[in-house]
Amino acid sequence: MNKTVTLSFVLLLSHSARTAWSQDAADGGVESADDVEVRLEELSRRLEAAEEKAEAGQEENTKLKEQVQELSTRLEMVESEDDMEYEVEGSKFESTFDIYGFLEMDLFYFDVDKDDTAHGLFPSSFSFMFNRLNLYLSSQMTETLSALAELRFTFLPHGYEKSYELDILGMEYERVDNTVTDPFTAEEYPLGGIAIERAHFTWQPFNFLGILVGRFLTPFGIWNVDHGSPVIIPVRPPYLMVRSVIPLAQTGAQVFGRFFPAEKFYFDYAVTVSNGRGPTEAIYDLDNNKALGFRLKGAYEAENMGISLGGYLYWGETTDVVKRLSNLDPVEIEIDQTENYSEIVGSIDLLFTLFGLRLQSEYVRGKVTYDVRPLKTYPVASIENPFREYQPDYIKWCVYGLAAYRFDFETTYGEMGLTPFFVYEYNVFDETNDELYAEVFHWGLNFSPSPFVVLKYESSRVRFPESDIVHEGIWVHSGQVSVSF
Amino acid sequence: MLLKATILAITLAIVGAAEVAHAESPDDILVIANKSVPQSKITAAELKLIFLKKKAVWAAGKNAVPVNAPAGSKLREEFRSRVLSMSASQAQRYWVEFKIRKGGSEPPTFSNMLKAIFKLKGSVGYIYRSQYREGVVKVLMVLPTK
Repeated sequence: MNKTVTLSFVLLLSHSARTAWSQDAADGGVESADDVEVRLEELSRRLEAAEEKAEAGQEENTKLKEQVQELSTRLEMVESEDDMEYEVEGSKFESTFDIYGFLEMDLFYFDVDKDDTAHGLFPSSFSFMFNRLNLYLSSQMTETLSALAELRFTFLPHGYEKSYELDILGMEYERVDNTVTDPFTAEEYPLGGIAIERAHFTWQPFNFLGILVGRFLTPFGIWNVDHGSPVIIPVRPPYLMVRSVIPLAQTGAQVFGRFFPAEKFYFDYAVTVSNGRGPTEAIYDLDNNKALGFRLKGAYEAENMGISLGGYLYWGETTDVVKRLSNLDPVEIEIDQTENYSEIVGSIDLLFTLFGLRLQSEYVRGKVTYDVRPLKTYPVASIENPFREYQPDYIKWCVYGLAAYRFDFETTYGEMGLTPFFVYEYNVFDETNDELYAEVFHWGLNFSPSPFVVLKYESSRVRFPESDIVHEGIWVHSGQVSVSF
Repeated sequence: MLLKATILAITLAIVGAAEVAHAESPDDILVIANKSVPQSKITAAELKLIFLKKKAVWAAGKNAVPVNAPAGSKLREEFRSRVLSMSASQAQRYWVEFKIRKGGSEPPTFSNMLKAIFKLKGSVGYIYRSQYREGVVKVLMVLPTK
């Protein structure tokens, strides 16, 4: 605008000057109109150049002002330490340590016909059962290094029935009694135990690569890693977990990671190497063969819908031994294998969620091949078969399907949830043994009055379709309170 | 000619209306990140993965540190509803199950989000546009006021 006004003024002036000068020239004056025009053009160019320079200077001024403002703000941020939840020195990472857990209390009633052999196998009275107190110790030591331990506090082995009385073999009924008396107060306490469910440290520098070492939960299925009672929908997890058709936990190392090939879609993998199964596998291995496992899972998660499909393959060798002092001087120790087998087990898991609907299923199948066969044992009595029958190679397979729907509703006390569910299982733990087929129907209702509490009710019908011992099946009515803290 | 002029007029009207609809509002939510974060934009899906700790690391190997506004704040509720698609109760339940599954904890909270993001390497959080100050952090995404 200024330029336009300036130029207009100049042109007007020049026109006047030109007129005057033309007159002068006509009258014989000093400069011609052409000379003035040339001078005007030069002045215009110089004016334009001066204005451009002024504009550039102004832009630089603005940039400098912005930089000063930014640095002032940053200085203010660095100097001021108020309003921070915790101190953070520049970019230094602060390690964290958390203790949390859950408590599970169950209520059981086994409804078994008094004339059925199974009557003696289960608690015959309505029972409260303090099942577990699980404590988690979790630490994030650096940005990439973390540790987790999960400890289960239980009253077991107190109350555990070790054997039944059997006169012909001179066996007596034995139940573990760990009751001790305080010598100072005479108070009696049943001593329980602490089971280390997992304890490992993890280093994960990238999404696609992490290393975990220690005692870990086998990364198979849907509920083995998510195995806490606040997470599992039924009172009891499926039998394929209860009976460890795949080892539920292993001592060793795991390489794992996650890829994101597309939005809302990710792949998980894990490779496990461990002591595998065995009577001492948690602490040490009785053979040189390590068990290998491989996990792959794909998942798609949209706003109210999710689907995942996964698989795990396990191969391992299990050994048991006895040690005998064959000589005392010099000392000689002989080690004899009493059992040795290799197993290969695979599992597939499928999970589908849509709003409150949850459908999940797992199928596990494996084969056990013996190199050193143990003697078969009688079920229930757990004594060796006196007819010297040896355990044959066998196939095992289990499948279950679950359907559940969570209804969320608002109340004066907050959001609550009600989840009716239904589960069907069919399990064959050993195809060569008729006593080890089990079919289970569960149905029930979960009520969550808060995110930290789940109340469960479940009825289960357990049938052993090929059994000669349990003829009529068993009804189990159970309740559970699970509280996270 | 008249048809061309009409089409042009309608197009301009639509563009104009769109421009009006996306006009900046102080209640827009800006998704902000520390300047060390190796990307200049983010999708809602990736943001959700990071805030649910399903994605632990930015693409270039830098740890992703999600940071929340204080519990119960309008900002946090709006972010949780729009990005995580969860109610407060659902989010609490999610973190109970997360901790049981793999340990760890939910993202930390800060009352001064801008300062926290400025200081913590790899961090990502969210503020209202009215709280934003130029040059301190980078803006990865804008959630316009609904």
